[in-house]
Amino acid sequence: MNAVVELTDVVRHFRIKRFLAPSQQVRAVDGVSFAVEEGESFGLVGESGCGKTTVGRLVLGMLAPTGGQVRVDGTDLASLSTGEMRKLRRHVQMIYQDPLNALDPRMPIGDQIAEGLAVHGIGTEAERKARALGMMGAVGLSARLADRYPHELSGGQQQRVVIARALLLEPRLVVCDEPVSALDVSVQAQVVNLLAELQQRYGCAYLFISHNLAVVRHICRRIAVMYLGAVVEIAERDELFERPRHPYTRALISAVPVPDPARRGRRSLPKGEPPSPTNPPAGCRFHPRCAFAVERCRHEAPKLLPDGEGHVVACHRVAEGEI
Amino acid sequence: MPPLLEVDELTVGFATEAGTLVAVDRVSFALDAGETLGLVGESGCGKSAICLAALGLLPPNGRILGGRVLLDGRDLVAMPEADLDKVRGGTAAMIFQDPLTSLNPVHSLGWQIGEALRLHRGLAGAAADAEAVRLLDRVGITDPKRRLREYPHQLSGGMNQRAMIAMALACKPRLLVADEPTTALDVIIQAQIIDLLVEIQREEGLALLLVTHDLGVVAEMADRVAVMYAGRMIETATSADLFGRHRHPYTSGLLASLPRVDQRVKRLAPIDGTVPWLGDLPSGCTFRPRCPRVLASCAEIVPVLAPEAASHRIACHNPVPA
Repeated sequence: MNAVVELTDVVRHFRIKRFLAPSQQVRAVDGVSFAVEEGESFGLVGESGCGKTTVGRLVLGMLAPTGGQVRVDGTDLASLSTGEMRKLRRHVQMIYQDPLNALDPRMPIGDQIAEGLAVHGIGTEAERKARALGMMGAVGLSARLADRYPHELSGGQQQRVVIARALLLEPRLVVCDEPVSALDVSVQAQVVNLLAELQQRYGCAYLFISHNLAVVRHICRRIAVMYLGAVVEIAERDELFERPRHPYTRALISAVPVPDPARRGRRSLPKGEPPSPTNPPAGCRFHPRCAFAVERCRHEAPKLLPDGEGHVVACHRVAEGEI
Repeated sequence: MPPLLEVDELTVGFATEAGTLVAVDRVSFALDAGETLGLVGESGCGKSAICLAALGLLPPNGRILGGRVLLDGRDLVAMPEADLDKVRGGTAAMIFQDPLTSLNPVHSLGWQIGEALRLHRGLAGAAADAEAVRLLDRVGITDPKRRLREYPHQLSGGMNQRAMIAMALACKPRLLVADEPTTALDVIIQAQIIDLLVEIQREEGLALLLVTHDLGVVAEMADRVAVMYAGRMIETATSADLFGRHRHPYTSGLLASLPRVDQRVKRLAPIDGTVPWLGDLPSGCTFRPRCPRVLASCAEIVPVLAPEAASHRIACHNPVPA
């Protein structure tokens, strides 16, 4: 299989400037490696501040990495000129959480959907219109909405516009950052199903970034779990959810409330809250909250290693076969 | 003995450019001490409006159009504002979704908790400080003495929500209204706060009115659940019955559209269409246009919550077979 996008030891630091105090460095992404294969849906999960959104922006080329490489279709994004980057964007599209912020309030939605084709110089105006209308049908929007403005649509319809716009360019990869988090449950299910159908139909890969583990389990084939700027575990979905290996993955999954009162209160929660990414703990970043931590975890950062059962895990205790 | 909280035929309207919209339509329920009732539904179903109306906290364009809210036998709807001030923060306390907008940014946590102690319990100075430290410790804030002098922006979202809970507990309330108390929090912090609320509720014997859109949170916390749709209560049952033997097509639809973290769902079965706008509600049953079990009579007769089993009630002409 070919990788659509491949990250190798990607690092991205941000500097926070202050007037009086010395500036600080936020290590938002600190040595992340993974690859998304063609046509695959790859999930990236973790809590606020774990760096998952920054990874998405690095993949889109909206941010340059401080270190490491982001390759899209084998090409290092850092080697591209602005013009080449623009051409590549056709193949890498994005869907964000809040559709109203992603749409132009003053342009009819039909024009917004077709705009990408014009930017990339594809087809005549009539052809572009026809394709936009066809795509509206594919995402479940009636053609008579084409002249409406974003504010005239419901949240679910707005997100369908964003999806149509992203997919009309037949991208190889779509970065979806919390695409259904702002939607109510019943509409969320409609959009989740739509994303799954469209992937089957167009064969694009998804990098699906979300804090909602249930949605990720439903839509993604493989999933990476991030904690404080680093990937701690990667596995196929059922493996990850039924046999999580890393102590953080276990905690994260057990913390999700399940709509079944018979399963109440089955949790093993870590104490406290994630530390600040300006000053991450030495060694394994999770060690201060980890029930399994030993001396080694305090000064030696664990590497992501295959566990022989299909997971890749960054944990000394798992590698030593202790947990 | 009458229940601690009794909401009787409560109707709430909001004045808008499109006229008065009825956000809560003749909703009734009761809540006993030591019990947790979960009010669930999607955006705009009226679940938050019920809480705000019950405690006299509606925004200026909101008005109670009918019904009563009895707390300990006293009607809060008819109560003068001055008396209501004694109830709020006294017998009844409330916590909200976003602690940062509920806390005052220019006062320390100690001052804010102290305010409630001063107003409702007459404590001041060292006695108030000592009680504030005890409360912060109670909600799991480490190093409470130091935190007392800190401001909301210095604390994380989880810590601020703990502080909100401490403040709510300051006057030993008997009713706690929690509107989406964990929605803004990350999943592990959310679980910590759920555990804390459940523990406090049990220990203090609080009546807890929990409002949320998250069916998982309700299943974790509530003894009984009431499902709202477009301003009306459409099903109410014990948690076990609601999740195990739900009868209303809307409740079934909600549960079938949920992806699950604990099992693989082949295909989500979403509810068709969207929630209607309150200014243009369908006649009869408001869920009718989206309902897979719709009958001709659904357009004509508004279904009312009928007693099924004693504790399980549904407002539907053609419920899912038991």
